Parts: sequence; structure tokens; C-alpha cells
Amino acid sequence: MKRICSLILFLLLFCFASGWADENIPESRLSLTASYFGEMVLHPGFKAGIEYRIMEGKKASLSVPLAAGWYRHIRNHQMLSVESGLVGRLSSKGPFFSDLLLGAGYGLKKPDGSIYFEDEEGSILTESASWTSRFLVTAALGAGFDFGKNARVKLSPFLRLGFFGEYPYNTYMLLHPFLESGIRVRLPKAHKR
Amino acid sequence: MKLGTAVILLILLSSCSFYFTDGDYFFISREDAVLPVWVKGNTESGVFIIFNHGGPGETASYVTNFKAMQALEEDYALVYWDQRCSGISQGNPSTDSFTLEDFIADLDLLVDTIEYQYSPNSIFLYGVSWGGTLGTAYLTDSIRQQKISGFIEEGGGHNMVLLMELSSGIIQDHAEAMVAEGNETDFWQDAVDFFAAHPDSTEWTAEDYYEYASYLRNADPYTYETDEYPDEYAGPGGSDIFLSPISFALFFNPGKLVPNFNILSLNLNPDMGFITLPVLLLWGEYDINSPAGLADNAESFLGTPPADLRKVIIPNAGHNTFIDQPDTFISEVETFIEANK
Repeated sequence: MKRICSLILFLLLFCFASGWADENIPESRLSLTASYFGEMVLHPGFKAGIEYRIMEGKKASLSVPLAAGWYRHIRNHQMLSVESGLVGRLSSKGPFFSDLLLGAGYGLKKPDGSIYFEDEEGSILTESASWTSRFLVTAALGAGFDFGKNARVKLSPFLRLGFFGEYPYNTYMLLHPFLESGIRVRLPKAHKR
Repeated sequence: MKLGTAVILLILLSSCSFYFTDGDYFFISREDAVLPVWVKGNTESGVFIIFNHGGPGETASYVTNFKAMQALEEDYALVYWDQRCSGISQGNPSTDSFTLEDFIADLDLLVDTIEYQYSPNSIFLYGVSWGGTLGTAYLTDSIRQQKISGFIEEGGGHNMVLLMELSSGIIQDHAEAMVAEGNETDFWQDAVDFFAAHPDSTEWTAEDYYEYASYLRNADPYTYETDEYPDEYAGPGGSDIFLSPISFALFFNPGKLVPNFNILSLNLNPDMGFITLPVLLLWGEYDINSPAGLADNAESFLGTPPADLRKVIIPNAGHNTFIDQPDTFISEVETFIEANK
């Protein structure tokens, strides 16, 4: 566990150490994101949110994301989530970039199906499953393609693989692998009149 | 564009899995546990077989893939369920609820739910390994026993003290033979030393049990020959894990349950005389997990009249006779159910 924490810290420090020299950002610090979110890769859902770049250099940036999403693991559960965190992003000389996402958030979860239970008199009752609260933590590695600051279309397709933890689950934190694939749209900087 | 097409194809592929379409799928809930139930097969038959998985902590989520279960599903409805903090069961039950009484109450809720939902002609209990222990414990109550038409115990552990004594004895003999032959001497000497230092399994900790289990896995347990049944399911693969209700809880739940649910001193012998319904005992000849001596023990203590009690030691089979010898298993189970439904 210590090794994993050390690796994550190292990657974040590397992002910073790669140098923020250029504060001349042609577009807004704000981006919109939209993505397919596959819990265990294939259980479908989506995420939508924003990213705000708090630091940016020639080769690295650090952003704060805020995203809301939903997915359905058929016959297992459904989850609604709101998450925030930090995204450290490294750019290569070309258009490619890689990033590391660390996040935490709040989830609402319900079993995907009807629930049967017994009342105090021993009669069987059924009801639709209700949503219950969950604490979520996320760690993911990603890669993407940036069309560049001067491109007409300021889109960046990206792909992330990672795990999120759901707590509580049978009194422990259950890990879910996920794949996220989507686009980030950099918004233009607002002009002052 | 290609990525989008691939994602859509993956979603379509995932929604086509039989895991998402076949049978009825719902949950039962008590004491903060949310337990999945999959009713699959011939519900029109009016005969429902509840499958109690082993463990504690294992799963029934993919057992439908085995040849024996598919054959039974053609004639009867199979009820696959995962017990609390086992398999892919959900919720957030306290570890204080990891008791035999709670497992029994969960099973009773399942039986009542099947009765409520389907009004079946008959319900059979079929328990494998720990599932056999749970089934035996459930049936020691006369009111609960009235809800069930027959019980199939396969390689069960209704007397865990005897089970551990017999199983440990076989493993010790194997370990001593391996040491004498100079084969993997360090490992098997550790086994000899372990059993010498821990003669009373009722005092074992979870760590002791895990150590025993590692020797058990390596003590040449019987495994079925895939050549004999080339189409037989070989265990969960990628499609079972990624295109099904299965989650990673399958790997984590047992780790939470086992240290908090010690069954090693459980002995149901004193109460087994109250069980008088028809019983089929199925044991593998080469079962070193729950050796066939347990079948003899069940035969001695059950209150079932001899005419309604059948004990079968299946040749060339280990702990899971339904996997090792599916044809014999299917024949015995169908004969038993047809006689008692």
C-alpha cells in the first residue's frame, strides 16, 4: 500500500516538476467532459462534468474535475455518483497526453431488481429497491489525444482505466474496475469588452 | 467514430448475455444483507430445487453452466442464491450477523419467497459442502422441515469436528508419504508440523484454517477428467465475470466472512434425529475435503426412515460429484425427486 501511495505521489510531483512556465493560456481554464463509463468495462453508463485547470505548464497541468454519472450493472446494481478530485496530466511532444486521476465522491446505489423481505408478522412483501448512500474513491490512469491549442476543434478524446472503491459494502470497501472513454472540450476564453 | 461504434457494440454484446435475460432474478433482504436469487429452468414443473452453495463464502452465480445443472433445469426450476457476505451478495450487514441462525433465517426467507412467488408443488433443498451443513441445520426445525419435500446433501459438513478429523488425517498421511519419498519435503514437513502443533481443529483460527486449506489443495484432491466430458464447463472465465451480474465481491466477500464465521466446532449430530423427510446423501469416493465417512455419520444420525434414505458413494468422484460424475449425479437426483415430489 505504501508503495502504491509513493508511486501516486511521485507521479503527481513529476507533473509539477515538469514545469509550469507558460501562463499564457489561449483558451479558458474550463473544459467540459462527457464520457461512456463502463463499470467492469462493459456495464454501461455515462459521466458528464467539468474540469478546471488550476495550474498549467508546457508539458504538465493539474486540474480539478467535477463529474456526475450513472451506470447500470444489470441484475446487480445501479449507481448514481458525483465526484471531484485532481487530474495530473502530462503532455508529450506530439499530440498525446497521459493523466492520473485521484478522486472522491458520493454515490447513491440500489440493487438492480425487486427486493423481497418479511414484515414483523412474517408476511412476504416486495418493493422496488431503494437508493442508499455510498462513499466513493477513485484512482485511474488515462491517455488521450489533444488536437492542439490552435486547432479549430478543441476536442480531446481520452480513455481511462482504473478502480473505484465503494464503501460500505459488507463492512469493507469493494473495488470496481472501470473503463471511461470520452471527450474533453476546452471552452474558449471569454473576451473582455 | 470507430471508438463510438466499438462502445455501442460492447454494450449490445453485454445486454445479450444469457446472464441478463434467462429466468427470474430478484433479491431477498434481511438484517441489512441483500442476497441475489436467480430462478432458472422449468418453473412450469412445479418442482423447485434450492441450491445452497459451499464455502462459507462461495457462490451459486455461475453454477448454471455445469452440465448437471443444465440437465436438471430442463425438468425442474433451479433456485441459485448467494448467502450473506458470500459470492456477489450485497448490502452492509454487521459481522455480528454472520451466525448460523442468520444463515438459516435467510434460507427460510428464501423458501417463503419462493412459496409466495411461485406456489410450487414441492421444494427440495440441495446443499453442497457447507451448503449441505446449512441445509441440515435448516431442517432440524420441524416447522421449517414441513416446507421441504426432500433434502440432497452432497459432501456436506454436518459434523465439522469429524470432518476436520477425517480430512486432516488423510492430508497428514499424504504429507508423511511425501516427506518419506523426498518429494517437496519442505512444504510437506511444514504440513506434518502444522497438524502436530494443531491437533484440535475446534481451536483453530482463520489463519490456521487457511493453512490447512493450502495443504488440502496440494494433497492431490480428485479432479474430474475433462477428456471424459469435453463440453463440460471448466469454471468461470472472462464472459462469466465481465458479462454477468458478477462483481469483484466474488473475490472479497469470503475474505470478510470466513474470519468472522468460524464453523469448525459445529456438530449437528445431536439434532439430526429430528430430520425425518426423504434424504439423498451423495458423496465422492475420493473426497478428501469431506470424506465419505461423513455420509456414514449422516446415515447413523438422521431420523429419516430407511426406506426414504439413500446413500450413494459415487466412484471416481471428489468433493463435487455434480462436476466429477454428472451422469451418475443426474440419474440419482432425478430418481430421488421423481419419487418424492
